[in-house]
Amino acid sequence: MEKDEAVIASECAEGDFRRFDALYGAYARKIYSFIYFRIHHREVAEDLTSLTFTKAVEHFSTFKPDAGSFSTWLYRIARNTLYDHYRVSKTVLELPETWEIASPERLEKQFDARQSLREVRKYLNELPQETRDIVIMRVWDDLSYAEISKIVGKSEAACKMSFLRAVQKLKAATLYAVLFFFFFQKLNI
Amino acid sequence: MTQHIDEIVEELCRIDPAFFEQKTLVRAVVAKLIAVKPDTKFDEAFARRLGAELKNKVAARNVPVGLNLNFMKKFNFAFGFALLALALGAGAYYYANSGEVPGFSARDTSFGGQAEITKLASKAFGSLAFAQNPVRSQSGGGGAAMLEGDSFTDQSAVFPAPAGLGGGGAGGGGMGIMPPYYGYKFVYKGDALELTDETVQVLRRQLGESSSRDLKNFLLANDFGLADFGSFSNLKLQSFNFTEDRDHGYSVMVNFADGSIAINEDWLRWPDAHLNCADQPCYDAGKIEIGEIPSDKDLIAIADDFLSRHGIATGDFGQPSVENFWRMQYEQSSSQTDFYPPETISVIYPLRILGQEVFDEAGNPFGMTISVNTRVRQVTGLWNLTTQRYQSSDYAAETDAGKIIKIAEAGGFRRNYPLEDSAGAKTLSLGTPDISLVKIYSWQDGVNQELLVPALVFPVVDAPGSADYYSPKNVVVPLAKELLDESVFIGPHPF
Repeated sequence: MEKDEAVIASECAEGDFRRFDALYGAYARKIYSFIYFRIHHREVAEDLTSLTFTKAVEHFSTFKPDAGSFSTWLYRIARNTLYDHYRVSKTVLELPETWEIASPERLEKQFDARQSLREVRKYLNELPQETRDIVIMRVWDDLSYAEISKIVGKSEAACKMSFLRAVQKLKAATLYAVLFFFFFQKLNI
Repeated sequence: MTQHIDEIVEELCRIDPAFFEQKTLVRAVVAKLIAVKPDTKFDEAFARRLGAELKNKVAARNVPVGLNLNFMKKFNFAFGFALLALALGAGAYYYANSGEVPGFSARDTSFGGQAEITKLASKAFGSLAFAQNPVRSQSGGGGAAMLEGDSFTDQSAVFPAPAGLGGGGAGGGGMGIMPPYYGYKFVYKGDALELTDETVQVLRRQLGESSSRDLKNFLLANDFGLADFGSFSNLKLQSFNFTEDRDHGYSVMVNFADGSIAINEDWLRWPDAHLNCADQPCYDAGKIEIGEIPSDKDLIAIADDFLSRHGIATGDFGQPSVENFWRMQYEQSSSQTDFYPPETISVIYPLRILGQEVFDEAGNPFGMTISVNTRVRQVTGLWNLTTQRYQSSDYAAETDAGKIIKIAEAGGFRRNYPLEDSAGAKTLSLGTPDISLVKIYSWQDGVNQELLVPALVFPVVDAPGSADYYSPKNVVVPLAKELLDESVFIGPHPF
């Protein structure tokens, strides 16, 4: 798809939208999810997704294949749309108390789902917004560091370091939680 | 998912080798992050709706300037056509030197309004003298005038007809199908002619399909689920048609290949007084009476009102006139009480280019034609509303005034009128000519070229006015030398 995607995107940039459907089909869910992961509100996510694709259609002529992939261009539009929404609605990117987990069966048996959610939410919210964004992009959006760097406008190395520090922090917290768990298990509390 | 976790862990270990020692814990952390990924509640119905909206946006975005196809869905004909005519009627009058042949595009098309002329090299249109003249079927409606292909040669070139005969407005009556035969003698009584220009500028109207990619994309985005239009290559839009969904509504045909717009009554929504007639008395009962025929002034007013309501520019058309050949037939009819006055009569708005009026080869004004239904006093058709984009090319001019007058006295360059040097022949005087343009068709290499050639149009100044025969209005002699070659003449023939 990547090679086709580049060709289709170039066509659309030149005004030939015959195959735009293919691009939309490949990215509709991804962009929606990208926005949902950060806003946790379905209706707003749908609105912002619609706005993202509308902007893409209206400004396709500004897409430069030499400057980057269609994917990073579209995600950048989505991210900017999201941040415009924050400015207008004066909301802050903060993960909610709880959310429905996509695949609860994947949780390790020794952790309660609700406990895991609380931990993750707590530690992700403690991260700087941009770092949190990078973590979500790598882990939930499954974007590569190269793509993340182009979307956030930082170097790949900087993005990797941000993610590393986030995992270090979460690792430390997890280690304490595990130790605490085993300690209190031993004490039978 | 395991692969995803492993991938992230390996990346982290590469960034910071210290992670190798705590790989298990790192793995657990990453696994937890992935495991608590939210359910986004992605709605497929939303995706489909958005996809459809984007499709419309793409289609609307790709529509050429001034051509908002969405208005068709509302069938708001008056407003929509005004938009179309307004957008298409804006033209620029300029000369440009160009070796290229500009293609037709709805973006820069001028329908009526001021002409655009692009100058080409001399004799760029090939031989003017080599012209085949396939007969165009005459009809009162714009639909017939929209015949595609090679059917646009003026029939008068072969069988010259007075204005109105065979076209819109011809009535019937006791005189029969063919008017009586009379021979003519033409005598020039005008001023001395001085022809000093060595070349004349011949114009060729530009035709061509709309190769607008925008319009093409609109079609490809709306394949109606029946066929994959994208499987066809090198698409060009040739024409489209829309109708009004109302009584007395119209059907509009836009023909890019021909560069013209035609408007016709949507016959399904117009009343037909003879619809259920099965015998002559029924037809007779529905016959329109001579006294019910609107005056020329009223007919022109009806046509003007139609043009005004639909935003059709008339700036470059001359004064309109009514084709009244049927009145001659009425006067000549052996039984006027049995005469059937026409149900439609045509009003002609003669085309003017470079300040010169355009005539057909028979000397009749040529231009936008509007047919008016005399029963309901409404316009039923409009045709010859065409693009006014031309290319020009210089051709050698005839400077021998004597030769020109000789050809005029012979009935014109097509010898349109039967000549007879007998006592029964009618002598008609020709007055001082005006320089105008004559429309001819030149068939070259399988392509029908619509050419406008500078010509002298000699008016018949002393038509007898007898009810016994028709009087031609003008005799046309073009100024392009090669059109006056003797070998071109078809030869005199009885009318």
